[in-house]
Amino acid sequence: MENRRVAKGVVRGGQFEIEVDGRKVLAHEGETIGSALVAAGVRTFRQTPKQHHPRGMYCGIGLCYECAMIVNGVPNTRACQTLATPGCRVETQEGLGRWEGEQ
Amino acid sequence: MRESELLILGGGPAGMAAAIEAAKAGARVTMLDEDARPGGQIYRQFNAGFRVVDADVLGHDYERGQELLKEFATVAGQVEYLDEALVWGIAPENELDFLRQGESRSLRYRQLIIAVGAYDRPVPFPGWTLPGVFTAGGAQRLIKTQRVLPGERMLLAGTGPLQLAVANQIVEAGGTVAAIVEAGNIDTWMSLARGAWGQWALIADAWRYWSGIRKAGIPLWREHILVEVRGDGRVEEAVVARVDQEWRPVPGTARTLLVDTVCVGYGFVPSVELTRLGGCEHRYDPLLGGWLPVRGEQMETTTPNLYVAGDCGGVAGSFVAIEEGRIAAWRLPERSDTSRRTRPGAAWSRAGSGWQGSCGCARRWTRSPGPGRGCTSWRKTTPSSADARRSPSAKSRRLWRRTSAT
Repeated sequence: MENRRVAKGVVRGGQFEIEVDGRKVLAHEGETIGSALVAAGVRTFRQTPKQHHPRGMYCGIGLCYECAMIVNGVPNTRACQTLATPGCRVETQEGLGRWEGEQ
Repeated sequence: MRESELLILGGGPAGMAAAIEAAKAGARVTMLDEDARPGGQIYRQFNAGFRVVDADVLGHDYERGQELLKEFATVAGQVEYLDEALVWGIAPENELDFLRQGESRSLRYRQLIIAVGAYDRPVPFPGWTLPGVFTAGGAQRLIKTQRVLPGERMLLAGTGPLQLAVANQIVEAGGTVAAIVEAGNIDTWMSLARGAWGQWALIADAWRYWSGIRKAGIPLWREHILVEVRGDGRVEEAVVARVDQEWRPVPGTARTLLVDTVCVGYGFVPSVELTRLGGCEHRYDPLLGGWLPVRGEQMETTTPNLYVAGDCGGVAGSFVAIEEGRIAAWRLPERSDTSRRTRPGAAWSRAGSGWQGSCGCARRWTRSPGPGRGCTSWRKTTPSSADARRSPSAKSRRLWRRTSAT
């Protein structure tokens, strides 16, 4: 697995795993879900509703919503603004996404 | 509904400076920001979990930010900082609506300072939505305070000094920059230098970036533009071409670069969503980033009790933002409707004491014409009269009527 973390200048917080589409991905305390995914080489965060084109992190500061994912069952959660927490469940969002339990 | 004496939106340089000034004068301040900690984009702090062991590698902006953040911490007792708040509405009667912790809340304010900054100007081109295309600002955030490189082999494309800053940060972090593509020509850079003359700190920064890039041997192609990004579901290659004076690609000059990441930076756009919701009158100024609220000398807008400070009033950078924040908060209540004022004015008259402001600097940067102020696009565009008629404020007023009618 790729790792793009930069060690220079900082010491990272505790390491833990998050679950991304059923796969384990490493994250550190203080990292956003988006950063953990970029560090792991994950590019596609969601697929567009009509043409199913892949989209990834774009503005990186919470404005564009291109990085919308389903986090712990909540769709349209911005991966770039949401902190990774131990064991959090992240899913690539298809279209507008679905709430947990929604048919 | 709760009422806030002074409500500040945005905890960046302008918002913090305004809060410091107002708090020194004895005011109680409420500050709303989307992030867990104050700092904004430029002075963004590390999230809890990270520990900084060598601030040198984080650059001068980081150091400058620490000074302001320290000063802000001294007034923390008077500033209520509501983190992770997303403002979605400004209603009549000084009411503001925001989302926080999954709940919509409202509060009333007597004075409102909007200091929400600017964001990367999004410029579309074929392939711009492919995963692996980032804005330069977004890439910078990843590198600076998340310490993650956006990719393996990166192309920086667009115009302006941010490109150089980001390239330098990538190199310092151990990443690989394939090339920097700058649409402007040598004149663009000369006028940038002229515009920044006297701003020695900025010039020193630029020089540092420049030499870092040269040392790393990164090719910098002036008068070139990113034409297209290609790839199967992700960035795999980028096409760049030489441009003419009007930034149109010259046929036959295209070349393809193998890269997995493209960072695009064409300057910044003032974030005017909230001033539009507030019904402020706007004007178009290409040199300051596009549409921006009309302001007076004391940062007042055309909406009573609504002030604007920093890049959301016109992109001019953090130094200007700090001064504007101070000016906006300076003797604020004395300027307001006195019948609503309950605080004694004496406390407020002290507001100016802390402000030894380099106001001249702010004025010079916000008023003198010519390119190079801030990182806004240097390509001159003239707003059409149709654009002027369709001013955002008129649009937002229509919108407001429509939403309040339903």
